Amino acid sequence: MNTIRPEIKICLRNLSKSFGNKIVLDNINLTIQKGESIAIIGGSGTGKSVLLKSIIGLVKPDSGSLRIDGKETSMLTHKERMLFNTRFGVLFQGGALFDSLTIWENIAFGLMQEKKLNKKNAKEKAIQIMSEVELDASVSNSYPSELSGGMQKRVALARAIATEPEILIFDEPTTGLDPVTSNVINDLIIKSVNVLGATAISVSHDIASVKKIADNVALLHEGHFVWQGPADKIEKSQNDYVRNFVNGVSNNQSLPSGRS
Amino acid sequence: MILLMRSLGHSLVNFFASIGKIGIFTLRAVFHSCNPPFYPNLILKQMIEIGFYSLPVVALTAIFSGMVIALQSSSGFSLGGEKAIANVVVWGITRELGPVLAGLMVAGRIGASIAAEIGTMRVSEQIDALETLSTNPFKFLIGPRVIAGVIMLPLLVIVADIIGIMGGFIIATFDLGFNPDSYIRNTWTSFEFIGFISGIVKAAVFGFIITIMGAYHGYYAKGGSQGVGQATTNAVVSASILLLLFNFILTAIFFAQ
Repeated sequence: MNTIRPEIKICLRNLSKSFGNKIVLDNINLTIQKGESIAIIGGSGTGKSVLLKSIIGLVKPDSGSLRIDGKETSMLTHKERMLFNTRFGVLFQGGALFDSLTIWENIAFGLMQEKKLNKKNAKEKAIQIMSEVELDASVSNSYPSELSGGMQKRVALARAIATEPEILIFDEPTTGLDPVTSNVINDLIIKSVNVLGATAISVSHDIASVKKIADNVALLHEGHFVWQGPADKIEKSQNDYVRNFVNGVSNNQSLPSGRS
Repeated sequence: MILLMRSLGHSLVNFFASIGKIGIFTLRAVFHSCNPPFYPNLILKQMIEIGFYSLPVVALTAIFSGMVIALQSSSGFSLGGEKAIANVVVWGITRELGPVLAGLMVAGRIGASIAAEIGTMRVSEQIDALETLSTNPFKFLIGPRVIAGVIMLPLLVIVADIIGIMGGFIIATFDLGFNPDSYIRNTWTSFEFIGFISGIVKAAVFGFIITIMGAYHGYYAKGGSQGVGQATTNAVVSASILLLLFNFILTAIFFAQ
């Protein structure tokens, strides 16, 4: 009996978070299947980063439930959360490479800390991963500040995938890169997600990149999802806000919500 | 009037809130510094940074302070000055000037660099990255610095004591024309264990204060380069003030009659 019932990897129910008087996430609901690649889009300051940080456990939600692999994570202690985080690989917006460590030490950081590999094996593995993200092994002993922005993104991607995590998170992976480099990073993301069979969550402004790397898209506006659907349908959506966002038109009218 | 009371109350609440925040931060830092995993390489690196590279500034401050005490006290003790000057130099350096000046110099040098480094890591999401790589920033970043500070400051103060007393000796013998042998003998007889130990204990406490303040302000830095600059200033100012406050408290405890 092989009824393919998709396995739920991440499940958010009525998740809310506010900072002071500002409500950033307002009763968010989202279900992410195992192996799915979802993109969360939306204007600046709509709560995308807070949502990501809640999923990674860097921000504690005020209320609601956040289950990963069926386990409620909002109640975990700091120590349990640390262990839990081995499931994640995160590509941060600015790269967030450790600037006191060399390139290979950055990439091998998770291997040495989480998987307790010794230095020699970790370096070998790091250099192997560098070739996967098309980085030359000659830069392995350089420091992050010596590399270009595009190369830093590759190192950050390499660090995120090094421990072969189950969930990959990409925070604005192509922001600040030229179109050619963006494409290369997009391809590398698709490749890494496929190779690892990981569940991927991306946050982006870049519609072209989103269509390429994601199966599904959720549009966040003022703490709500106003649209969710397959990535290839986003341009055909009848939802005004989605149309305006995709076409880059400013949107001042009140918004209809729900799926289109 | 109501407005004044309101703003006064507001700042009072903020004041106590930040004391609580610093308290919790300190407890976490101490807990994680005392519990494995430890990072010996990082501790060693910080010990070199805090101890070895602070030697020149601490040595210079100490030698000039020793020389100044000898000069100043020579103008104050005109009769039978030889014994009194050696006494004042030894007491002044080991009890107060050694630890306090070394502490203040290190607060400027190390407090600032810790706050800037950790603050930059905070605003560039490197601390978030550490957490997602299952590494506790309290163990990886803060612990090694606190441990190194508590170990290295006493060692620096021992060096400062020796060099400061030597500065007094230089002035006493070369400028004031005292007999070197009898000055050294007087220095030995003036030396008191409790004074020396009080200086060392102070140094360990100062090392703790400096590294904790640097780490605290860096850890909660926000808002880009301006925030990091602010954190650095706050770290040095708060470390210096707390250092002087605790210097008073520890002196009162050690030498209470």
